Amino acid sequence: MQSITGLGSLSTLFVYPQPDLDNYKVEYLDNGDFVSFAGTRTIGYPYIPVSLRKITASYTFKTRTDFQTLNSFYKFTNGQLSRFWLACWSQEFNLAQNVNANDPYIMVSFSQLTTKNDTNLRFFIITKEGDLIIRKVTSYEVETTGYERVMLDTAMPIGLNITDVVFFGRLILARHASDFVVKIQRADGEDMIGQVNLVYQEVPYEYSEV
Amino acid sequence: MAYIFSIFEGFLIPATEWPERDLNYFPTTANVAIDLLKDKEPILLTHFTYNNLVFGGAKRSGLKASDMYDIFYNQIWLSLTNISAGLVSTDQYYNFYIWNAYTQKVNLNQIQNNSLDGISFSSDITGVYNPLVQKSTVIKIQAVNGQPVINGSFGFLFDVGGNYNLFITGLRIATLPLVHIIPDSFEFTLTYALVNAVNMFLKEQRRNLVDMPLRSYKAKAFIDDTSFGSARTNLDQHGGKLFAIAIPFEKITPVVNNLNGLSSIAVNEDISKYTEITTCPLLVVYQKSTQVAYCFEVDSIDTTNKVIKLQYPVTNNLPAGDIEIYPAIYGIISNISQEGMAGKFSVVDFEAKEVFI
Repeated sequence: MQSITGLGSLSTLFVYPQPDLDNYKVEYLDNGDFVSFAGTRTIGYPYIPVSLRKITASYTFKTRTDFQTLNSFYKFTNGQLSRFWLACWSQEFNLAQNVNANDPYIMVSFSQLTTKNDTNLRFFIITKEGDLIIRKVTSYEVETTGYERVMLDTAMPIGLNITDVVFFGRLILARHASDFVVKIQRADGEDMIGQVNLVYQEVPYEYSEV
Repeated sequence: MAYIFSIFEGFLIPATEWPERDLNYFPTTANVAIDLLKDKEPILLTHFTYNNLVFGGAKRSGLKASDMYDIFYNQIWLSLTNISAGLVSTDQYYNFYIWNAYTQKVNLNQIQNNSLDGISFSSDITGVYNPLVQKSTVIKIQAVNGQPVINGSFGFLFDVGGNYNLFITGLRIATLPLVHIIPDSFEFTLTYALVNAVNMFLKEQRRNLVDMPLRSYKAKAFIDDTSFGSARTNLDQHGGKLFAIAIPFEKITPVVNNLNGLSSIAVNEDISKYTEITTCPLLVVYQKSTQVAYCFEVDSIDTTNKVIKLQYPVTNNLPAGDIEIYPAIYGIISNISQEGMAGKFSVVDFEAKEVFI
């Protein structure tokens, strides 16, 4: 089951295939300047109060169909030209309480989302049944329990136990930031084994446009 | 008053205005551009020399036809006589004329082809040439079929004798037998030419220069000394030369037993799952027994019916069991070296990049 809302005017989405998680790196690039003259204090000028994520990922594939998916998506975005929604495969959030179907919120622990008040946040949840749920966050509240109540643009489609959640991460607005590089070990008939290496870069200034 | 009529200037000149002197009013030698003869009907050129003539012991002014007549007539004119085709990356066409400047019929008995494969005339220009009649045709130099190095001539054998030749030189796309890639070494890259900048409002400005990816790859390939002899000849000149670079992970096998005479090749593989073949303009056919790689231009690819249509039919004997077929791109080799030369085999380490033709 897939339940996807909150993507705005941009519907291009890249979640699968899943990258090699043992070879997945998320860098946070600085987004500002420090200025100082000799003998004076150093002053920082942040451009916007968030960092840019730069993601380096590899995808191991075993069939031509898998390779075709990756290859076609790179061509679909015209390389580095077009932006798209990208699943950031770092386990960023924790579901704090079970969710009932049609709940307009979820409870999240230890994420300090409220302090950032990031209204551009979209998250994705993958369940052990293979369901994919994507929602946009509209507001945050801190509960007395210490958990954060995250209000959603659309109610949850199904009930979830905490243990049902396999992956709970952030969706970022990104573009490709490298060439499409593939190392192919073997190609024989339908079988094709190799690894695609890709780099993505977040475009935080463009959240307001979608 | 005597008048001299100048056919060049077209008016009458009073002869008395030139006293008797040794005056060549027109030069006795003239360079006439061959273009005059190329795209016009043969024109009558007559050359006169104003000279002192002696009639009955007395000098008189008068006109004498010069020997220039024989510069133009009583021979065969070829245009062109030399084609330097350069790098033949696509089919090239040249207009070619033969003018019979004899005042009699001549017969072109035969055109001898000296080492010029893949070059043809659009029409038959052998046979009878009436007096002062010109025939024209178009010479086509095919980009793929024929020798990689074009260096030969056509000899035109007329019944009146003479030595008439058209020399043609150039370079075709070379095909290297670099298909047996060592897996760990192979890296394939798609690159979109792109301008990416950030403006003062922190907005990224992105523009694609070309809306299709440029392919490139690095690889190490086995190569056999038998074929390396010819390959080395091509590698020696790899600067400024185009190569057909095989895409080694999209191998295809033909349905039929022999490619000879085919202009459409049905294949066994489900090529709808191949990512590169539909944008490959060439096919490389590697013959295992001879270690020779042939190249064919692709006209269109029907992925649904699994048929590849070629621009020209195959003229080589290529049995299915003896060949491997790969789609290929036009490429330049940016780096190449040979290593591990031992016995019969060696390893070639190379980097290649696609170019748009």
